[in-house]
Amino acid sequence: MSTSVSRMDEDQIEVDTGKVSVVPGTMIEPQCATFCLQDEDHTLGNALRWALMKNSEVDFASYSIPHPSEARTNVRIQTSDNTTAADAMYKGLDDLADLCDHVIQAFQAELAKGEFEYEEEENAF
Amino acid sequence: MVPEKKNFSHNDLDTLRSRVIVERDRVTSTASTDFPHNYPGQDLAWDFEKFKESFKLKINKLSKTEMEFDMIGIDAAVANAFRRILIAEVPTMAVSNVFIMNNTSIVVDEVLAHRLGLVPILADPTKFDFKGKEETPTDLNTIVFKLQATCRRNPNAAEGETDPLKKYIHANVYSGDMKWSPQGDQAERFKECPIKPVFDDIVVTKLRPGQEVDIEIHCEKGLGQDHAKWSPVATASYRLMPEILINGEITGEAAVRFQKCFPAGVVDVVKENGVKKAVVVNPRKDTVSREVLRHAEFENKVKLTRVRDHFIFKIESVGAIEPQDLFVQAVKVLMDKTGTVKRSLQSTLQAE
Amino acid sequence: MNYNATQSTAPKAPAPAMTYICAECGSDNEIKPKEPIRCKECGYRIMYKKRTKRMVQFEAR
Repeated sequence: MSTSVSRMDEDQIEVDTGKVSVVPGTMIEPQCATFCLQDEDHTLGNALRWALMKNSEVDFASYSIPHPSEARTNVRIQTSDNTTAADAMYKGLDDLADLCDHVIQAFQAELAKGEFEYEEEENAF
Repeated sequence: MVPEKKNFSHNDLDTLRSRVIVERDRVTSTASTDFPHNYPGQDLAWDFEKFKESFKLKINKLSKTEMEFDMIGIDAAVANAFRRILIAEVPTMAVSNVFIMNNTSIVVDEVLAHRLGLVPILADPTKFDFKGKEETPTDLNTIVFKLQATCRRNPNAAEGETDPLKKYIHANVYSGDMKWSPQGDQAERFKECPIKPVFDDIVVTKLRPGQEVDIEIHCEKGLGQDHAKWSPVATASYRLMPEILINGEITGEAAVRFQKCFPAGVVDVVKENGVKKAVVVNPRKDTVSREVLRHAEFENKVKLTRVRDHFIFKIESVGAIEPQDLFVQAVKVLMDKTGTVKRSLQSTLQAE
Repeated sequence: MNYNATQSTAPKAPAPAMTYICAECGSDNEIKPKEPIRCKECGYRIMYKKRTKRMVQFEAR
């Protein structure tokens, strides 16, 4: 079975415009906004919140799931005057992507080294 | 009344930042605090180069279905995202629709359909598309199995045989009786690894002479968040590395009593100049039962903590996808999420 | 892979013989209308009707 997954086929990227929206009335100035992520939960919500809080220019970042039966997550960002909420969001997402990329590389390097206990199973199928 | 803090180095900022503290009746210092502006003189902002330097990944054990590895230098928010994705967002193939032509077994149709749904299917999900609710089944989004079995008496069975498996032919219907019927060019596409259930010995139902099942089974690609049958793992979990700190020395018979507070192999009693002394040798094995904290003699002598950024991660695959592939796929899912959200946010803001 | 929810049954013969299962010995019995309900094998008088051959679709959940 193949190891690789090709989810990032550049030629067939479809942009889902309904995926992210700005919650009406929350972007009074560019430095603050609440973004609404459709079909996302704690998985991305909390990881993204962490990435946003890791940015020195972000004064406040948090996420919430307004209602458990609605598949959407709100992400609130307030930044200093040096940046904007949208740019902080882009940076947070990029940082998270960088992190993931490095984790995959580190994992595959470790796997290639093969310095671990490999167990052949009795009831191989 | 505020309890007097007697624990050694309890107020040490570095401990609070990097350790979860396990006390006798509570766990403290649980939340991550390593963010910018939180600690004087420490930057703590995201730095990819620093991350690359400090991040460590070490695989301890690997088999066809299980993998244990250590992941050091990452926040719980991200480690937990990986764990959640493994359980709920890595796609697999599973039985979605069951067409029952005949079923005279004791198991009623809907229960039989549900049981078939939970049979793990050995097929590479990356070679299939998701099938929309209204879409028709094609060879690109559906796998077809036939399950046909009729039970009859075994003419060669010994007189007075009582074991149904010997007395009758096809007394049990197993997952292995599901026969793949390739659609379109599937036979060609999957000739390297023919599609089949992961295990051939799952009992689906039982039959007696004259009873039969005649079923067509359709499998689709799906996510664990839709239904657990699509989850590629039995479970994926992590625990934080335990740490046992001894204040000063624990010597003499107390060292033996101290050792007995922990599972075998955690604490060693060594002789130093003829005196017994307790040494922590393998905290990984500790279950953090806190037994040691119940003994008055060890008060202020020992502190139990867990390393906040040291995850002992375990993936228990169901068998359809090997655990090392699962982890890579899970991380890629998170990476793709960031890309999807970014592109969507860009187009949303452009439209405004 | 197309299914019609209701498979049309064969055109009805004037006196269709139905197959029933004896409740005692389990053997198949073809019984025409007005015939006595009695097992040819064991003489038992209780019969089960066979399950319909019509395809039924279930979601495996």
